[in-house]
Amino acid sequence: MNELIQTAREFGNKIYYSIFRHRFDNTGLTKSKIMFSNVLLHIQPVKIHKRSVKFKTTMGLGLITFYLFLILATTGILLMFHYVPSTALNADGLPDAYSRMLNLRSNVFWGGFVRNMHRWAAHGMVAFVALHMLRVYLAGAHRGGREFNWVIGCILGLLTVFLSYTGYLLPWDQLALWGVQVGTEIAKYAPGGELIRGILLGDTEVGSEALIRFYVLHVAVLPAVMGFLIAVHFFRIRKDGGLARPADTSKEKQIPDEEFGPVKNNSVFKSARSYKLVEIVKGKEPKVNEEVSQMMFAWPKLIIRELIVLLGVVAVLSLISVYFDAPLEGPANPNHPPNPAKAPWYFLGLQELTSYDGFIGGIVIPGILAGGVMVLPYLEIFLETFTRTYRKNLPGVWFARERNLENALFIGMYVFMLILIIIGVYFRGENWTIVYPWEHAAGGGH
Amino acid sequence: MEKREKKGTSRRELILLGSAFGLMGLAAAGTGGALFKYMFPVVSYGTPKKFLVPMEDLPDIGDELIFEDQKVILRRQSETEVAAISLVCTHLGCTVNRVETGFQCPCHGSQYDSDGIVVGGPAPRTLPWLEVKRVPGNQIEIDSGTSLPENSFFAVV
Amino acid sequence: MIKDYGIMLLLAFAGFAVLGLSLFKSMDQDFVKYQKQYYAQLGAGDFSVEIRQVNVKTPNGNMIDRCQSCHVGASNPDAVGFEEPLAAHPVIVPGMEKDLHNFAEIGCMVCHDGNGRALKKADAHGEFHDWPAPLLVGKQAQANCNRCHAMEGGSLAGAEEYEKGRDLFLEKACWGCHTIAGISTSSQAPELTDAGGKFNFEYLVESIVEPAANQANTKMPKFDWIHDEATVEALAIYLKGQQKERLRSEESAPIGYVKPVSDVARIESPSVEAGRALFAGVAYEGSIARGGCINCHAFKNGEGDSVGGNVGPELTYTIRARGRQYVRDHIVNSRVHVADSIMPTFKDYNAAELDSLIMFLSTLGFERQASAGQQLFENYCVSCHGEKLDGRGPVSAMLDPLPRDLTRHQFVASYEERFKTSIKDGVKGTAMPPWKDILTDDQIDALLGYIESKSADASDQFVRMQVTLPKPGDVDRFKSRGKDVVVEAGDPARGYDVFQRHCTSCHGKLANGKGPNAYFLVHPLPRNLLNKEFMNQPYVTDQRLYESILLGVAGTGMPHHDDRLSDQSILDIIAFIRANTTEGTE
Repeated sequence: MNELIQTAREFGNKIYYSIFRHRFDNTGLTKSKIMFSNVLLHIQPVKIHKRSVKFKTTMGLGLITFYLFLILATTGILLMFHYVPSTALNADGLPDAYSRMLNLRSNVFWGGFVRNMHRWAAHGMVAFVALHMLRVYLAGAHRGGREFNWVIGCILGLLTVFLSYTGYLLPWDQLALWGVQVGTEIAKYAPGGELIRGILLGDTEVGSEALIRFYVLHVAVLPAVMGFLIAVHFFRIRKDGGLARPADTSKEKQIPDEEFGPVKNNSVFKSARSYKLVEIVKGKEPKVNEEVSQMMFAWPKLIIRELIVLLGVVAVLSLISVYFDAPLEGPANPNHPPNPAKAPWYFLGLQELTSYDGFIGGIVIPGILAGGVMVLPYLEIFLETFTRTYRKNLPGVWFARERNLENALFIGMYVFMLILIIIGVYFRGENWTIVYPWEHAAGGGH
Repeated sequence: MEKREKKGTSRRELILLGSAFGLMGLAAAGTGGALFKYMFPVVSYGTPKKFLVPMEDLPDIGDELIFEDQKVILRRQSETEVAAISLVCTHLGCTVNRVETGFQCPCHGSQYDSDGIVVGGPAPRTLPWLEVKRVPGNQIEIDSGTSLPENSFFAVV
Repeated sequence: MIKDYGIMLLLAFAGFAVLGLSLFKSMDQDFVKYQKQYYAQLGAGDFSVEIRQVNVKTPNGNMIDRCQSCHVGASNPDAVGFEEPLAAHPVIVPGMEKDLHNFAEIGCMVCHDGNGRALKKADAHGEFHDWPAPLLVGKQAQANCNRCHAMEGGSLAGAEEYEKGRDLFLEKACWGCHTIAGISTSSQAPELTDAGGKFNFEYLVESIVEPAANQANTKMPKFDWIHDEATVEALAIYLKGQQKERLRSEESAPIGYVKPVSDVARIESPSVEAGRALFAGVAYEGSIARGGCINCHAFKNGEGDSVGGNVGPELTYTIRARGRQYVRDHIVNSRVHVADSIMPTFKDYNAAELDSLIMFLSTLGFERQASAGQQLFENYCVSCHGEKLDGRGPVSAMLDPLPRDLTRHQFVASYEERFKTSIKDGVKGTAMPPWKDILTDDQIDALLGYIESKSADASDQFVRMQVTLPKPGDVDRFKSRGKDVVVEAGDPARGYDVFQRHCTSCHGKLANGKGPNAYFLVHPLPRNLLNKEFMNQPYVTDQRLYESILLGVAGTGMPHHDDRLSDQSILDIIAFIRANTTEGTE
């Protein structure tokens, strides 16, 4: 009998160790093993600086953006099962793509909820990309060797907006058609805009060709590029030395033991930084020696915190999706434009600007937003180099006094766009005249 | 003393962790179930499996009525009883023809008698008899999705 | 750490709860409730709750119709008297015991529109933004009979409202302006062949009741019969039924229509009775020729009360004032006389029909034996010039040019000498007819006296300046570089340039009186300078044009130009205007 138990245990162990290469005990070795023997976890370092898990370091904005991307990918694939990118009219006079939206709302169980999730997550992702960028800049985290990752991040931001925009058309309702129509009109102002517009639309107007192109871009091309660049973005975070942070000071408190429990170092590596041996790739690495004690194992603290963010995002997003339906208007009708015709909200700032001046709204501002912001860290380096004002770089310090001017300008840009967007969404009525939001039901821009 | 506290903490931790992951597991299971329903068809865009026939359209006693779209033959056995037989061949799903001797399949030559019992050819089974139900509104509902043994008659009047 | 685990548990619980909420919301659909209620009311024990989808077969594929998921008792006679939405559908064809419409086959949307795929009430009834075809309730559904049934003419049992609407369309002379393929051909107003496909019911009702509601610049009159809701609804049902897209062709329609016997009959011999019928818009002995003049034009009956519409001028004295030929030409194409008339062209009438109308109009007339100016004015002038003489009589709104506002003291004082000829000979190119065959000289004098007495209330004495038209060779009022200039004959090309600089804001680039500022002027509107009939009458002399341009027209929006335009420029403008309106030019 005992023998049988023994054999069974042996069998069980064999299975267990074929899956996990480690136990879940409280030793440093195990904590390291957990991290680098799991494909999902090994993307993250075994040891992190204790500041990395503090809320004020990142506010979780980048992580939230990434989770929203995952949610979008999941719900997007689910929606693809019920969607056809076709404008062909059904017998009831409805375009095929549009009638699928109606199906999602009625006879597909959970369909409305999945669509709501996708829609609100898309809007949320655009917003959180912007917030993430603001955080990075204000904390100076785009400097100190992280300049290139800032550029990658900016490209990811543009891709996010473009993904959201291509998805905006797919329901093929009035809101979608005219939002996209107006958006492509803004593109006309940019140099080469006609060319880009032609390539995007495949026609002179937004029609069936545009729908299929937007669809392919939305479900295949852009997500693939995005996924790749996200990988690069994450990879560079580690290669550039982890999250940006100021140098440790001796005043800083040591991590109390209770924070992550006692570590029994029963590993062969008696050095506290077994991590270093794992890293055989060339690249920048965290400063060694002096602040070793500020480093902590990523397992389980970091992973739990990440899970918390994930649960929070899913819960809040689901709650919004339960109570707020994604907008759906009548089927797209190219002969009957709504008044006012508004672009999606993230373009409404530009639409507002083009309503004053096509050149400024169509070329200057988007140019600054897309190009200028992207090369911003290099611009700073350029100015510092040529004016020979070497100054202490302070990556990871919020509102560093040395960077007051830059921060003020950056915040100013955000406030400026935000005001324009608010005006565009809430204060523009028929014929683009100023109205108070309580005087009309805002149409478009959702 | 200190050790016991530690132990208490770790037990509480384990309980919290366990219930959190348990809830997450439940939620994942719920999501899986919901997605199963999300994928499962609720309506049919083809010919519906169930269809209605008004009572006054019933054939006379001993007569039959063929519904070509639904591939069903409706037979009136007596004043009160009717039966419906599927016209889909049990071999490979061709539509059988009503002939003098019963039913004949044009694809591979399966032969059935007039009750749908196989009398020749490759067909493995009797033609399915279908459920007929009296429904409100003075009509009957035939469900071509059912499969009953031969001589399943239903009283509908 | 324990704090983190606690937060995680809390969030996991929240997520679990929200997930449950979303599943509950997805399952808690209205039709489930309704179907349970329905079977409970029927007392049926054995039932399954399901989405009841009808795939309506049409030549273009299936129409998806899920309406009966909630309207579950629609075809069940036992469900008569159940409350909405479970009740049985009332019999559609009156007088039949059992309706021929099988809802299990044709669904609901074919007749009632709405959104057949939706399962929520607001969605399904199309009560959301920009939905093209909101629910047609009750009789409104008759608009869709012709999706399956051929019913261009004749009658179809159960489609009474639609047919009433069609009769109204003919009787109220809507066809005079609006084209519906197969019924009328006119290019004066938007085509309505696909009105039902383009517009929803509410929009159609709104546009009939208040034409300007959806289009600010519309020329469509507000008719006085529209206060009757039933009438408007019938007409809107008919218009809603005008859809290009039909499910069945005329040949494959389940039930066709009964063609009227005299489908192509016309009036062959002219008679007063035929004219009266045409005027009233009713069919005369089965003829398809329709009129409906009475919807716009009124006439005085034996008691002196006017009957008819308030859109066009009153016709009591028209034949006597204008003569038969004028009226005949006017019916065929009113624009030959009045450039901006909105009257439809009735070019399809044959000679007998035109003669009938003329014969009927010739019977009209009402003599008021009166000599006092006020009585005369109230009989003859009031319908256009208004009781207050302000040019805003009941029919004035749709006239172009507008009737003269006679209360403007300065205008009356300036042009008094012109009034007599205007009354006697009329003003060509406008709705003002010549009255010389109707009024005696004494009566005209009495009228003038009345007008003067009403307008002379203003205390100040206004005297218009006297100017004379400069002839070529005269010295210009304006000096050029300090030297006198000699005026030469006007040049249309130069005049065009001056006109574009000084006149277009009101008179428009084309000189048609429709400049951008014209919309802000109320009464009168800028003169259409292309109105040949007006411009070429003997009273519109170069002298008069010169005066009007130089001094302005008192009491109107026309300003003086004595400080801006040299005599030469004015002569050039006159030459330009003349060149536009000389016979034979376009």
